[in-house]
Amino acid sequence: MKKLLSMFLVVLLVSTMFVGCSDNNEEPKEEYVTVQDMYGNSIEIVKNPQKVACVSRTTYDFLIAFGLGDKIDGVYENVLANTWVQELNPTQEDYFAYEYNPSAETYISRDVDLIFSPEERITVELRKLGLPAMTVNHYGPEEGYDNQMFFLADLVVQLWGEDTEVVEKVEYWKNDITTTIDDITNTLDDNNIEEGKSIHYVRADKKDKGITYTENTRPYLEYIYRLLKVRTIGQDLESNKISAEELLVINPDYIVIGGIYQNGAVEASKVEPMNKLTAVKEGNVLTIPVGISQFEHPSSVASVFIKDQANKLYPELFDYDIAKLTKEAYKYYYNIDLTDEQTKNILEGKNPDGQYE
Amino acid sequence: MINLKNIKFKYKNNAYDVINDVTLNIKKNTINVLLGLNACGKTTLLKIMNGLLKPQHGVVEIDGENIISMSHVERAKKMSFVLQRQNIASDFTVFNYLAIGYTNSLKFYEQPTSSQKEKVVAIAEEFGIGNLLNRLLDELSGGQLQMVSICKALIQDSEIILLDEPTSALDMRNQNKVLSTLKRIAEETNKTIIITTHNPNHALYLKANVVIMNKGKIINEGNSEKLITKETLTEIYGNDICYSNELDYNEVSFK
Amino acid sequence: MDNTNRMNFDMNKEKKRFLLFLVVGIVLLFITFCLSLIAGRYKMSLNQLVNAIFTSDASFDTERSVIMLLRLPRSISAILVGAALSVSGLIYQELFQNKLVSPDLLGVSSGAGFGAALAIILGASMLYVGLIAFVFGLLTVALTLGIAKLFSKNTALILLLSGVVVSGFMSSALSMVKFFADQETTLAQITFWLMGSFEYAKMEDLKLLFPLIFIGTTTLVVLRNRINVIALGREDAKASGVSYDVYKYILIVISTLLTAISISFYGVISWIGLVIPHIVRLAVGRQTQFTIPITIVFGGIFMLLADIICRAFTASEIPISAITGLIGTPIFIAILFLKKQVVKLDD
Repeated sequence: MKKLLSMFLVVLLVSTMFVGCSDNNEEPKEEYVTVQDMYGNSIEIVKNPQKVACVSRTTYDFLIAFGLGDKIDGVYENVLANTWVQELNPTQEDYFAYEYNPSAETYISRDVDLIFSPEERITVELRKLGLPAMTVNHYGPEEGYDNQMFFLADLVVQLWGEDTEVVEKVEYWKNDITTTIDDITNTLDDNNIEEGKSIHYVRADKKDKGITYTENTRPYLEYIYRLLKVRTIGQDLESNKISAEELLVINPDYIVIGGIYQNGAVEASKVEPMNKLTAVKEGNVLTIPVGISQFEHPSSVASVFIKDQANKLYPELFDYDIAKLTKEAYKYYYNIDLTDEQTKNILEGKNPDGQYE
Repeated sequence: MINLKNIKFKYKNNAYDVINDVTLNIKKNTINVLLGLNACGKTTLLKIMNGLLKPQHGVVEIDGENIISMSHVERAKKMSFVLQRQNIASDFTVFNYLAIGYTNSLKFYEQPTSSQKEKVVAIAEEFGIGNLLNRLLDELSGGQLQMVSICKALIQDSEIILLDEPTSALDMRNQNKVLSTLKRIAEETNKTIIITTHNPNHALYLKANVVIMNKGKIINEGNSEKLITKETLTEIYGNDICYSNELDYNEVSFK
Repeated sequence: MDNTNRMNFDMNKEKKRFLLFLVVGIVLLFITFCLSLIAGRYKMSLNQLVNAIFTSDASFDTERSVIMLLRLPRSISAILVGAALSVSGLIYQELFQNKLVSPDLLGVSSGAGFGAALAIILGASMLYVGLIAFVFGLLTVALTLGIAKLFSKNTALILLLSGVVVSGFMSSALSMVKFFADQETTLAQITFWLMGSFEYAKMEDLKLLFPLIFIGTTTLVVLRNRINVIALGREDAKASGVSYDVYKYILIVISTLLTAISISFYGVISWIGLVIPHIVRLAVGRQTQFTIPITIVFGGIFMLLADIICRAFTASEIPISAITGLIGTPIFIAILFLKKQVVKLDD
C-alpha cells in the first residue's frame, strides 16, 4: 500500500515537472542568465524576471527600493504583517502572502520566475523539482557575511540590468554603503579604536523570552559589528540561546536589542539578575530601529543602520543625524515623506501608533 | 450464616443467566462443597457470595445483613476469598503477601504493626510454610501457592473462608495436603468453609455439605455421604461413572 | 515437618533496608541540592559563595542573584517535579500491573503538549501556555477514561489501549498545530517546550507548585499500604477489604494531577517516570510502603542531577528530556538485563 502510494506520488511529481517544462518551451525567446548564489551554486534564471516570490525576509524592501516593486509576485506573510509595511505600503499593491515554506505546487501554480528562499535546505528541495530558487538571507556562508554585502544589489543588476533607473539606484545604494563603511572605519582607525569590546544581540521576535535568545551563526550583524570593532558573543554558542548564567559570565560590554518585541526585552534586562550586567548598569543597552524592514537585516537603509549603531557605540566620535538620514532614504527609495512622529517611532523601534508591540 | 435468596446473574454480554434462581442457606461451622462441571456457575456463585459480583436479582445476606450494603472492609472481616488465579502479584514475597491478610483491620493510613507481623510469621510457621516466607510468589509450586493463599485467608481471620477450586492444577499429593488442611481447619476452628470443585471425591473426603450445581441451578443439596450416589452423579456427569464403597471412604472414578 | 529445617526469617530485613536507603537518599538529595546551588556556568569561589549566601555584602550582589534567582528556584522545582513524575510513574505501574507504564500513559503528556502548542501559536503568554496545557492534559485523560468506559470489559488493558489511541490522536493534533506554527519563531518554541526545561523556573512558580505537589505526594505516602493491596489486582484487593474502584480513581486523579502540573510548568519531561521506579524496586523491593517514599527522594535527586548537566557544561542550555532520555535509557536497559524479567503486556 505504502509502495503503491509513493509510486503514485512519483508519477504525479514527474508529470508536474513535465508540465513545467512544456510551459517554458512555448516561449522559446526567453533569455537566461547564469548567476551565482551566496553558496557558490550556479543557477539559471530567466532574464528580467517578472514574477518574483520574496519569501526571504531580506528581499522585499530591496526590490521596492530599486524600483522593482511591480516584479514582485508575493511576499513572506510575516513581512506583510509588519505594521509599518501596512501603514506606509510603499507600492500600494496587494501582494500574495507566502508562508515560510510553501509547497512546490504553490510556486508552480503561481508560475513564478524566481524564488528568493529563506533557507538553503528549502532551496535545495525546490531546485530538485526544477524551480528557480535561490537562498537570500542575512546569514550567508559560514565564513561570515563579509563578501555578501552587495550580493543582492549585484544580482539585481545581472537580472534587470537593462533598466538604467534600476542600475542607477543600485549604484547609489552601493556607493552610500561604501562611503559609510570607509568613513566609519577611518574614524575608528584614526582614533586607534581596536576590537575588544563585546556585544550581545538579543533577538526579540518572541514575546516574554527575556534577553537570552540570540543568533549563533555569523550573520550580517556580526559583520556590521565587526566593522564597528565590537565582537558579537553569539558566534561562539552551541545554539541560538544563551543560558542566563553564561550571559552573566561573559558579561558583555553592550547589549543590543532587535526584533519587534524589543521593549519586552529592554524591560527584561532591568530585572534581577540581569540588572547586574555591566551593560545594563552602565546604560549600554542599545536598540535597533524597525521600519518597513527591521534595520538589523540587510536592507535599503543599511547605511543608516550602520551610522545609527556607530552613534550609539561611539557617541564621542560620531554624531550622524539619523532622523534626517532616515527621512532622506525613505524619500529616495520609497518616495515616502516620513513625518517627524513616524521617524521618531521607527528609530525607537515602535509601531506606527507609537506603541511597542 | 449465609443466605442466598432467588439469585439471578447474567454477564453483560451473555444471553443466558449464569446463575438462575438460586436459593441457598449455608450454616455456621460447616464445610460446604459446590460441586459441578466446569461452567456450571460455581465460581460465579462464590463471587456473588463475596460481593465481587452483584446479582441482577435476589439478595445475599450474611448474618442477616445484605452484602451489597456492607463496605469492603466489613465484608473482608466476615469472609476471606482464596482466588483460583494467583499469578498477578508474582514479585511479592510470601511474607508480604500474607501480611495483606491484615488489611481488613487497618485504617487506610496504617501499616501492619510489629505484633501483627510477628503473628504472620507465627501463623505461617504453625501452618508449615515458615520456610517459604522469604520466597517470591513466582518461585512457588502450585501446591505451595495454594497453601500460602489458604494461610493468608487464616491471617485475615474471618468466620467464612471461600475457596475457588483450591485443588485444581495440583497433583494428588498436593490435593490431599490441601484438603486435609481444610479438614483440619474446619475441625479445629469454628470457621465456615465453602469450596468449589468438580471432583465428587473431595466432597466425600471432607464429609461436607454438598451443593450440586448444573447449568446455573442447584439440583441437589445435602450430606455428601447420602447425596453422592450413582443416581445423582449420573444426572451431572452422564453414564461414564464408577462408584465404589471399597475403601474407607466412598470413591468415584470415571471410565 | 517443615518447621524442622525452617530458615531464620527476619521480618524487618526489608524495613531496615528501606530505612538505610531513605537516610542515604535524603543525605544524597541534600548534597545534590548544595551541588546544584554551586554548579553552573557562573563560576564562583567558596568564599564568594559563602559571602553571597550568608552576608548582605553588596560586592557579592551578582553571585547572590545567580544563586537566589537562577539556581535556587530551579533546584527546588527540579526536586518537586522529579518527585512528582517519578511517583506518578510508580503509581501507574502498580495500578496497571505493568512495568512499562509511565505517567503519560493516559495521554496527559500528549494532551498537555497539544494544549501548550496551541497556546503558543495563539500568542499566549507563558502563564497561559501552562494553564492551557494543564487543562488539555486533564481533558485528554478524561477522554481516555471515557473511551475505556465504552468497552464492556473495563480492565486495565482496555485503559492502556485507550490511552495509546488517545495519545496517538493528540500527537496528530499536535503535528497539525506545529504545521500552522510560524517556522521562524513559534515552531522552535513549541519544540523547546516539548523537550522540557527548568530554565524559566521562578520563585513565584513554587507558590502553586509546592503546595500541589506536596499534598499529592503526601497523600500517596499516607496511602502507601493500601496501594500495595491495590497492586494485587481488583479481585484480590476487594477480597482483602479494599474498595478497589474508589482507590483506582483516587490514584489516577492524583498521579494525573501531579504529572499535569509538572508538565504545565516546565514542559514535557520524559523517562524519569519510567526509570526511577525500576531503580527503586531494585533497591528496596516491590512493597509500596517502601518504594513510594524512596521514589520521591530518588526522583528528586535524578532530576536535580539532570538539570545540573543541562546547564553546567554548555553555554546554551540543553533541554531536560534530552538528558533524562540519554541517561535513562541505558539505566533502563541495564535494569532489564539485571532482572531479566519477562515483560507482560496483559493483565
